[in-house]
Amino acid sequence: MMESLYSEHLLRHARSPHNYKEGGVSACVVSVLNEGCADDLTLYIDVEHGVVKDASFVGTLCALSTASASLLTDYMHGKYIDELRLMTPGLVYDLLGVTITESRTRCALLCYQALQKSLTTCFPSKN
Amino acid sequence: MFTRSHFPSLQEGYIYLDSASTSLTPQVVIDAMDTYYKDYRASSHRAMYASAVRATKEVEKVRVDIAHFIDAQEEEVIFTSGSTAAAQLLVATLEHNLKLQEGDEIVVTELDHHATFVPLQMLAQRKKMKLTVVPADEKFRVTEEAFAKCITPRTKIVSLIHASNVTGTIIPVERYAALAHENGAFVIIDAAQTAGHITLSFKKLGADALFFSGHKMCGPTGVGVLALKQKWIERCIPPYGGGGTVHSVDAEKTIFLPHKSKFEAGTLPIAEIIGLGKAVAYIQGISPGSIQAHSTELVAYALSCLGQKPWVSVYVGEDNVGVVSFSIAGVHPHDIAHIFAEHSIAVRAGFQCAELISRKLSSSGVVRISVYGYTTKEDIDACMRALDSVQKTFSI
Repeated sequence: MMESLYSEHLLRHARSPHNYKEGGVSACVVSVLNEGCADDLTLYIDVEHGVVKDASFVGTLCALSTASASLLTDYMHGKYIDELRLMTPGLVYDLLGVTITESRTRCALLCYQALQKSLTTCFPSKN
Repeated sequence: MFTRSHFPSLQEGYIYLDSASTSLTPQVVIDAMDTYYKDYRASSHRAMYASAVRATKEVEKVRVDIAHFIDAQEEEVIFTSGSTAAAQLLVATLEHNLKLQEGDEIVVTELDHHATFVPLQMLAQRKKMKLTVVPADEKFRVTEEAFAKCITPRTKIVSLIHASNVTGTIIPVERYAALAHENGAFVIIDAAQTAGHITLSFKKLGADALFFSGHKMCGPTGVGVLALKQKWIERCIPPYGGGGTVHSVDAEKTIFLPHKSKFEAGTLPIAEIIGLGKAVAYIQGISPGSIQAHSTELVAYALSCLGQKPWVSVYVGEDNVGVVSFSIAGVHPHDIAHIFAEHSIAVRAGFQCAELISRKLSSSGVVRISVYGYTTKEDIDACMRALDSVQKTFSI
């Protein structure tokens, strides 16, 4: 049997996700859909002076998407928006700490996809 | 039942429970296509050299075999690239040839696959027709009473799925086809889940059109059949033109052939048709009746096993083609299917291209086990072990 995706670390975040809540009125709100299964995720990012003050999410999600969003929103707290622009999918995989098979990349990267969308819609680069 | 060693994909340790999605292919089918590519590779119905003549003969032999297989006339058999392509061809044909008016009605069932549901919904939107969905009952059946309520004098097209690809329910379509015909409607049967799984008779089912894919019945991908009643073949102009469909073409007009070829524009999927013919022969060597009995036994066995797991919600039709779907509260179907994959078990998860019924059963869809002639009770046992692993992983 292959190594399981469902490590204790991943399951901890899936069972009790961090930052699972709607954001405040000042937050940037973006929604994305997982085209593979029609799951949806809404990401809220509140930024002050170019720094993420709060990041949270809600949605209909599998365990992997939930854990990924939990870890990624944790990571985003206190980061400069310009730092987040440099993020790659590899960092999400590192946060998850497990091997992501091709069939689950959409799940693993759903919150990352929402972040990318928010960077272009709410926080476009001035360069 | 099928001899497992005939299927090269069935490697040691690999458990395949996704035949409702696509079946595995026996070596004889692969060999038949291989022979075409190696020995007589040529276009059919076009030329006079020996390999072309042989290709034409082989394709037409398959047409005859298919006609026998589904109890239709040879002239009613139209080759397509699959069920979805057959549905598109049919819907376009109806749009061009039926006098559809705003306010006319199309009736589909809640169990219908997207292959038919979506093109008919698009047709309804284009022509401002009403689309009526016959609901399934709590046992995942489409009852005669529910169906009859949806048929009106304005019903022009009725779509019936012969067996649900989500709950496995076999629908007694012949009764409903008769009722629809009393009201003058055109009746379509989607036999994608039943062809090669139960005995089919286009004649007895009484529909105007029936279609299925080769790849769900031991055949290759890229080939399917649309059976269309002779009177419609004669009456209808084809929605798509091209090589092979015409009697004559000049600068002003095209005159189409008067027979089924007018619906087969372009080069046919020759190798795939030849493979499908071999798949039909393979299935007839076993008999669809015994395949159905085998599937019924396996579904009953799976249900008895699942009965030991009260945390699993099961969705299965009583008269069943070989499909069992389930969900587990609080666990996403893709997480369940992923754990199954970690156990080398192939199942399908999600909405199964039939979102109406799947979403009704469970908001994120279901996990589906589907069996065929090569499936064994040991495969079902492995499935139950994987479910135990899901239970442990998610602390159910």
